[in-house]
Amino acid sequence: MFDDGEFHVVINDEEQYSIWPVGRDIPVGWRVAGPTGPKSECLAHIDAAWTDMRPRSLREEA
Amino acid sequence: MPRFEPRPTNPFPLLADRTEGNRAARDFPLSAGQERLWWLRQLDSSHDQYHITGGWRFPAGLDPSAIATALAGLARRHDILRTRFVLRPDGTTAQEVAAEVEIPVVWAGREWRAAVERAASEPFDLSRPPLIRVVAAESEDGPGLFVALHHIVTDRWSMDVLARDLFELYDAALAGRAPRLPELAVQYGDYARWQRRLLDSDLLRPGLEYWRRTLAGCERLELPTDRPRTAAADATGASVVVELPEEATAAMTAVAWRARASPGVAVTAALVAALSAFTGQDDVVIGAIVSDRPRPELQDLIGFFVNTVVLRVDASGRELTFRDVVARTRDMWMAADAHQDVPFERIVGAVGAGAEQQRNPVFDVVVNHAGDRTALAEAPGAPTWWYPALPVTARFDLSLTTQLLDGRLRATFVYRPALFDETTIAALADRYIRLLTQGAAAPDRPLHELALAGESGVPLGGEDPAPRATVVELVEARAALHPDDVAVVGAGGELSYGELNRRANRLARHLMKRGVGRERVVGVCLDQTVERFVVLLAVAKCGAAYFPLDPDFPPDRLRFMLSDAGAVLTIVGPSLGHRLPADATPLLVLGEPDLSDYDDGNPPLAARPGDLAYLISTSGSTGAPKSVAVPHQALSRLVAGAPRYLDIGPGATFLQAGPLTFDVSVLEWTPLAHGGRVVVTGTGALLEDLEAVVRDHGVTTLKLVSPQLDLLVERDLSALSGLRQLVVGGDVVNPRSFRTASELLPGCRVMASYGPTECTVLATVFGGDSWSGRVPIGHAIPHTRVYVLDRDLNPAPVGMRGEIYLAGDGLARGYHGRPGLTAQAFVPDPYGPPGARMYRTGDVGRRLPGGAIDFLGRADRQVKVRGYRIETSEIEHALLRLGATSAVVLRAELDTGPALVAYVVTDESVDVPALRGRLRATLPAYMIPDHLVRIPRVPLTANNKVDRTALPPVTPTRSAAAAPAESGLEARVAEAWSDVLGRALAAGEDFFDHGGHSLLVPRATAAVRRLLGREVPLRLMMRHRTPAAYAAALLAGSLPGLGADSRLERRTWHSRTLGGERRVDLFVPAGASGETRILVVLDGSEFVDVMRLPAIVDRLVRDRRVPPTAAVFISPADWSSRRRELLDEAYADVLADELIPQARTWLGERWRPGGATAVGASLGAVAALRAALRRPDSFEGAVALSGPLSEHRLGPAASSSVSPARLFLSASREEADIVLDDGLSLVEAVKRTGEELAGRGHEVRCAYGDGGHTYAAWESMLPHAISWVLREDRARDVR
Amino acid sequence: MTVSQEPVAETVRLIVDKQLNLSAHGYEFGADDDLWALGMTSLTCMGLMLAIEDTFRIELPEEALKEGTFRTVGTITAAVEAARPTSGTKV
Repeated sequence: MFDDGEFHVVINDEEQYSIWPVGRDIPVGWRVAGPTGPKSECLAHIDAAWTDMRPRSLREEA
Repeated sequence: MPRFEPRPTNPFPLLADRTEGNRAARDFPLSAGQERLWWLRQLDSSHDQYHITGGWRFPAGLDPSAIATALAGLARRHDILRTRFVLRPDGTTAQEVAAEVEIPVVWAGREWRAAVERAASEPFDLSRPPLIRVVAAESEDGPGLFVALHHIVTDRWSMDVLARDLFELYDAALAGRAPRLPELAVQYGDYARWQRRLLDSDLLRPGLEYWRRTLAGCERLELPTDRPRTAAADATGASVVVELPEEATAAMTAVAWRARASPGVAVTAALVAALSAFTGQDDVVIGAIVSDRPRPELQDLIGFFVNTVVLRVDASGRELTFRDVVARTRDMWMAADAHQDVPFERIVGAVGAGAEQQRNPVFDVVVNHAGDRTALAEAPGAPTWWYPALPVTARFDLSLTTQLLDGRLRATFVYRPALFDETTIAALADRYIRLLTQGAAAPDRPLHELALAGESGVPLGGEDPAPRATVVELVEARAALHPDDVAVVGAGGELSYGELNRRANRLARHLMKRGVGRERVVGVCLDQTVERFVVLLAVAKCGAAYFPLDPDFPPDRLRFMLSDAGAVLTIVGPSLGHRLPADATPLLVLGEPDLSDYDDGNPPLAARPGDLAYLISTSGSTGAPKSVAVPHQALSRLVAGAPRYLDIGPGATFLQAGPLTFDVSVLEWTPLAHGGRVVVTGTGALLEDLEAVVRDHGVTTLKLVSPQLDLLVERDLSALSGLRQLVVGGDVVNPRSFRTASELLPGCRVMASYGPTECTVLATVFGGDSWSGRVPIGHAIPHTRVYVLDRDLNPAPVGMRGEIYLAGDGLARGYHGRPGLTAQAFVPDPYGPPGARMYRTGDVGRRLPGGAIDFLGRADRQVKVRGYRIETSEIEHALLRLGATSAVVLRAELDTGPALVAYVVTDESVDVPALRGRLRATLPAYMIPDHLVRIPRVPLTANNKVDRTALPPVTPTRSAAAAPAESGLEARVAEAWSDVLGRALAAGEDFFDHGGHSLLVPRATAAVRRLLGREVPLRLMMRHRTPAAYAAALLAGSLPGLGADSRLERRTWHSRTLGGERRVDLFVPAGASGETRILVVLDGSEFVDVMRLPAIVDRLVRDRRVPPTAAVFISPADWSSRRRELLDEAYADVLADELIPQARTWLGERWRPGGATAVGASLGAVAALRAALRRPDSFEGAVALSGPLSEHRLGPAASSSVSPARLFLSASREEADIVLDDGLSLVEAVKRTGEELAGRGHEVRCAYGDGGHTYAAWESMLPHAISWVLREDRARDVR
Repeated sequence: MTVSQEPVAETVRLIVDKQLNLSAHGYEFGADDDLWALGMTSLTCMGLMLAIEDTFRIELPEEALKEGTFRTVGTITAAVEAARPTSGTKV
């Protein structure tokens, strides 16, 4: 499922990024937040966008 | 619309055999299907897999004389029931119809059960008709008649014909009238002959091409078995039956028609989809049984009209719908149907699938759709079918038989219980029915959207959220409550909780002054002393994350890792300071700063659950650094739940025998959080100090990784008898070690565990008995969820393999500084709370009944070798069971191609070649590693995984395949087999890998039989598949056959001229001293081992047909130089000047002055004759068998003064077909040479025998030849 | 296979013959002979169905999709004629 095909870039409320295969329902608590395309493209976007890997709730506590 | 090739018509006429008048045995060839059954019977005679049974109730009773009459009529009507199956001497098979055969009936009465079972299971002798047994029974429900036949004479359709004919004959007999049955235009033999003409013609070549193309590159469908395959063949079967209700069946039929397919296709399509899920493969290859009566004349015959075809269906595609699968299956079915005339064996030969002895070629799963052909006997009052309960036999690993009964589809799965549990097959059957039901209801919905999982897919694991207290709080609490309890003990003394906490507090304040705080990373490179925990606790109190470093890494690497992690500081043990680069981060050497002025009370809590607790590097010493970043809440969850399965509370003493850089060390927090003690000390690289440590510190709870357990089990475990708990982690836990530890440590709870660093040390634990010889990884630990998901991310049903995903509070934050890598490994969790993630382990597993998870291997550890998909962990398991301590199997690309290599750690007493032999007895041949290499220990990476790059490379020996024959016997076997194959086969090449198949074995064996003149079992070829191995096997049992006091000695001899060490055998007859004649025999090994010349000479001497004669047998140094040597004109001189003097030395005083007699066959005959003609000083005669004598110059042209030699020349009459270079046949050449030599004044005898250019022919000629050439009287005799 | 001006029945007959290899085997068959009895199997029936639809460029409707439709040349012809557009033009 995660090896080939097209993926969405997704994000959750803690602002953690991930990828999800196109064609399947996106699990609850996640939404699309970036390009849709081959895995490499999604990961490249995430590498650039996900600069602070701390969960949002942790960042906000500070 | 796609075009479909029609099936080629058999253009030959289907005619009845018209040999009238003589009703004596008529013979016919076997049909292709019959040949296959005949062969299967030869291979394994003990099983009754190919028996067909049926029975009928006769409510009105069974009239014995009417039954007898009916059966007699049946036998007369159907020639097949009077047929016997025989193997001809030339290796072909035939079926012979006898004029009269009686079908006896066993009148069992009430004792019918035993009689019926016997009838059904006793093997049939295919050469003794009738191949049908009849039992008349008095069952509780009334009289019944039961029949059992061998499949070679019947099939399901035939049973209906049999029923109809039998009842009509019976009724007619009862009523005293003539039976009314349709005329039979032909008999089965005519059909077989008709089919054979087609098979022998060229018309099937396109069909063979089709199969070659279609099956190119296909892999076996690897069913995940519940028990490992063994080498033993087992026909025991069991079955699971499921049914589709009427409505769903009708819907399925409608969907089929709409897809322009038949119900049989739809039924097969559902199986394809179910198997694809079951195996995780989308290239599905199964077998299908097709009933084939292509002409109306065949429809009323009893006989075997079944073809086996292969269906290869592509089940790939994320959006695959049921309709898609049906359409693809239909296309494959139609093509297979059109090409079903190509016999299965030929298909197997064409794709090089060989004849694997324990497995069916190409596929293990078969589908058989019986359709809705209703029984012929349906008239009211007609006897009804009766099926007495009989043991199920399995012809394949798994077969699906479907039929339509009263509008409902009934699906019977027959499987081998030796491989599968019923629950597994029941789960498969359940999925199958769901697929059919839902697929028919929604044929255009993607399959992955259908609800196919049924009961099983509930993810497991505790759902309550983990407590939030960090380890800092927990240790501080302990220190407050029990400050004097010992916390850490080991190298460097011991620390109480109070002392530990105070020291950590002081260090923490110092660190905070130096800028260590939340989200900061501190490198730690520490000795294995109790001080360690002071550091780790101090870092945690700052809210920072510690990052263990391996002091053995090169400094540059450490610098890279530290900068990549963004470390602000590195703390080093006093002795390790020099290992670290000074310029990477500021260094703090433990003990150097004076901390005494710092306050030792608890600083304010800094670490929050979301803050990082530690980083562990998982990338080893090369490659881009990859560190797993673990937050406190994940660590808290591990620690909080630990007491439920780990003995680490007060009174417990915990030891884990690994370095800080392995995440197993994180477990040491658990006793600290719960009041137990941790032992921190060196235990030696090979755990040599472990027992002492355990003893000295009273360790109660020990954590090891699997290779460490294996090491200990090899040694004596008694030193560990005080343990209360032993936990072993790692993927392949050696079940023997596990069991041994459990047995030898009775007071100890032995457990297994599993968990990647990304899930904070542990995900599952297992504490039960090993299961079917494997150790499962168990159930999820608290606050952790484990899923086994199929390719569509749906939960895999029990027994079906899938990938292991982990979820819950134990997940790491990710890979430090690697967002992309983190995103692809930590993906959304569809089964957890909103926004949850799950980690893809890349491990393959399945759920066992009872919920435990079984680890099946890495997804990347299924390797493809020789067309099979092999789970390397299965081979590893087998090696472990056979005595290896540890084993690693992998696929290597060698110069000779891909190979399976097994590395084993064993103790010295284990003989590695013997291990290989034992492996052959337990595993199927295709799983036997090509190379078995012994290593002292299994190298591990920093992650406790096997470091495959550190395994020694394998240097393959020169490919055996290209190697030439090593002896004459090998060469001749290779030649014989090449003839049968129709292509050249080298001595090291496997017959079955080069186009051979089982049906050629009788012919190949017959050729060898002819060559040797003696019986050779057919089965030998299945075990010894190359000419080299076969030749060795042939010679293995041969005995010299000598009388007492005769000697046969093997020596080695080195010739100055020829060079090379060669084998020389010396035969000395019994008897007192006295002068002994001597034979010099060329190609000695064959004359000794195969033709047994020593025994022949021995007998001749004892019978006084020849004077006492010794023999020296000389063999070529190696077979490839034989020809050159023998034909070298100087060879005769070597024999005369070197060998004979040597022989004289060996024989000593028994030597009789005078000449020797040279003996040779084929090229050796040429050399022997030359010896006699060129060196009359040394040789007085020669025996030359089947030599190409006219092709070579034999002797000096004129030889008037030379004393006459005694020369025996022979040839076989069949050698008239061998044409020499000069155009003469070999027989002619021998004749003419004989005449010429006689004309020159020599004494010549020419003899002609039978047997061709074979050892058998020469062996039978030898007594005559030897006795003539050595006879005392010297009468001239020329023929 | 080209469709000519010949009546549908004749074309159907030719298709059946080709798909089931009947006259090649020396059989003669009439419009009402049971094809199943002449050796048609469910697989060859599928091939026949596809060939019929392909040749006449029709799609047989749901109610025609059953074994009975393919029992004889006659029944097939009837189904084809029912399924064709009634414009009378050459197909």
